[in-house]
Amino acid sequence: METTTRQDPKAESTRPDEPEFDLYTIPSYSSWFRWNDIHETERAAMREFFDGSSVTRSPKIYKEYRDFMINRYREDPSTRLTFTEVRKSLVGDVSLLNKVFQFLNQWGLINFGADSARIESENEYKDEVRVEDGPPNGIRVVADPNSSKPFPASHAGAPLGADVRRSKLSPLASYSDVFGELGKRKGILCGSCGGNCESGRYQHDKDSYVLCVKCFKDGKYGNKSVDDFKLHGSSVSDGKQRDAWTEAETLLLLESVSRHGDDWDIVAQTVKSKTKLECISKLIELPFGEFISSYNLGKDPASGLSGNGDGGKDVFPSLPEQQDMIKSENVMSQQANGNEQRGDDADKVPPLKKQCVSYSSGSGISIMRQIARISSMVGDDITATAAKAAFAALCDEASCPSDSFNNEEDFANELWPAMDQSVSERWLI
Amino acid sequence: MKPLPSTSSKTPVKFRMPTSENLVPIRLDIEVGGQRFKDAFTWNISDPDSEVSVFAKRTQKDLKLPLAFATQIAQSIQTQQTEFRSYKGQEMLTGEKIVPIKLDLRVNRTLIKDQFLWDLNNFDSDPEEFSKTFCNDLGIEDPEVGPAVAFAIREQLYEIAIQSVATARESRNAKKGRRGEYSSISRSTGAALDLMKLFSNRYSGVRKRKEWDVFEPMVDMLSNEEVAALESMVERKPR
Repeated sequence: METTTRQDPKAESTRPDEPEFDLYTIPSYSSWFRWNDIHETERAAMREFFDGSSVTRSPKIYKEYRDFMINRYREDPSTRLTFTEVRKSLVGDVSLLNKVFQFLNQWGLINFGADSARIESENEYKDEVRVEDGPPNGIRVVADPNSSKPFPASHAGAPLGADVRRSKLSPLASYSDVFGELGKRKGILCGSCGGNCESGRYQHDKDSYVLCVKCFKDGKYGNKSVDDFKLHGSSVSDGKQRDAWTEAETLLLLESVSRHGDDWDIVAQTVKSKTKLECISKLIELPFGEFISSYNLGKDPASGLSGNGDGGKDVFPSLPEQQDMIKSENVMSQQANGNEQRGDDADKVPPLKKQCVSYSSGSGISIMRQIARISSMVGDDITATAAKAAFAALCDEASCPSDSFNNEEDFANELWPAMDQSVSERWLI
Repeated sequence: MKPLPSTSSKTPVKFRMPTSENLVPIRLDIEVGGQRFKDAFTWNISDPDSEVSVFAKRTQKDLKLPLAFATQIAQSIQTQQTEFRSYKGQEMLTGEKIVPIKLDLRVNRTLIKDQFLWDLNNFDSDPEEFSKTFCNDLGIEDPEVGPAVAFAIREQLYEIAIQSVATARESRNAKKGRRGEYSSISRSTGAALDLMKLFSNRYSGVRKRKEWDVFEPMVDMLSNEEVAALESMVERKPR
């Protein structure tokens, strides 16, 4: 059973006997749920209630447990309902009650969209993403999504197919899932001890590696040289000013990138209040940012590619902190988003390592065909991930696409013939 | 250790802990030369690798206890293990038994009072999992609370399991296996609830509201002084 949270909620009215409908959100894979009935899914998952093995377990009692828990949750949908809260009100074996509770939880009939759902996925990040010391170019994974270090995230030079498998993001992790946390600046965290760097920090010259004052004094430079660190301002507010991007700055950034392309020195000069690195990172974060910079150089496809490549190689070593999985995720979602844009004709070239693939996006070719073409170029699971990310992004923006994707079967089979059967099954649930 | 023949109408089950893992709750309370060592943990009796003497020696070393403790610890554990094993092969009358489990314990600074129901027939039940959920939901940070809660549950289940062996024996010895016998036994042991009474609220799975706080966990944090006071009180009580 696919139990990862999907970002395509379908609102369902839930109390048909009341004149006014309250709308609650449950995931679409739980649309079988009915108040006045018990579905086969429930019967299969909790046979104890339906096999007549005990007078304490009957369909009626199951329904009471279920209805009580769901109603209890819906009294305050933004708060996560805990098992301990409900079990005091229900008569029965606590292990069995917990089974019902977990069932409802997994199917999103309770706690879907409640606060700590996010906490659990954050913890997943922490578990799966480990800070890795060792590799000479110092690939340093930012394990803490609360860090205000701008995610250098993916870059044009990301190797395709890189470690999407290793990524433990749910298959439908959307752009906002991955980057949503960036909006919540919680202060700058030290790269060595993870603590808050409120009273000043040492910033590495060439990248966004930060050490708090204490760690710097202790000599914990990681694999960087001490000379590269510069002391930065000490007030929290100073940090905030540095990191937040105003509209004006963003506009300047976009303008100068479209004019100067990959020349980050000039771009940084134009956007006076941000460093080179911050400019690059910001650009990557923008949905079509990469596209703009490559578009500019794309007029000559050959040089465009190599331009990209060079630019990639230039910047790459100076961004040692990259979260591999985030990087590849972002590449995928950007490619997926980029599909919707019509750029100039750029020749399709087989994917080179560490380079962005440019694809033909002439007006004559439908998006679907483009997708099909691209998906045949890359691996199955990447395609699936990209598709899901795109789908999620689309659904976030407009509520209608979920309808158009109703006929899922044809959709999947037609467009992704290369897709693994198991992958497509997962997609369809 | 004689296996007794089954005569009851319900198929009796061989003695075991009604949990997914057949762990024995072991309690230690040893006093040697003025020093007192108390501990409680679970033991996997079917694990061939766990050697009592090794464990006892290690415990004594880790806690820097005098040597005499090692032998005493080992002895105590072995006694309790033997007792557990003595029930093996005997039958328990589980029938339909949903029993109340009560928590009333103090772990370091955390005081816990709680009550809930446990199905003795549910051999998939897991006190450790319950305890983990308990601590998570209530935001308990002290890592010693979880195991203590699980242990308390296991201990009570163990008691009840032993009692059900006794009742099985009694009912077999009684010439008549009438329902009346069972209910009188259950009343005397006080361990099982009449099932229908469980669902007292119009046979509903939802409990009467006024009873909710009886079954609600109560967790309190004590201050250091209160802890000290409680501990000295326990010491003074004759053991």
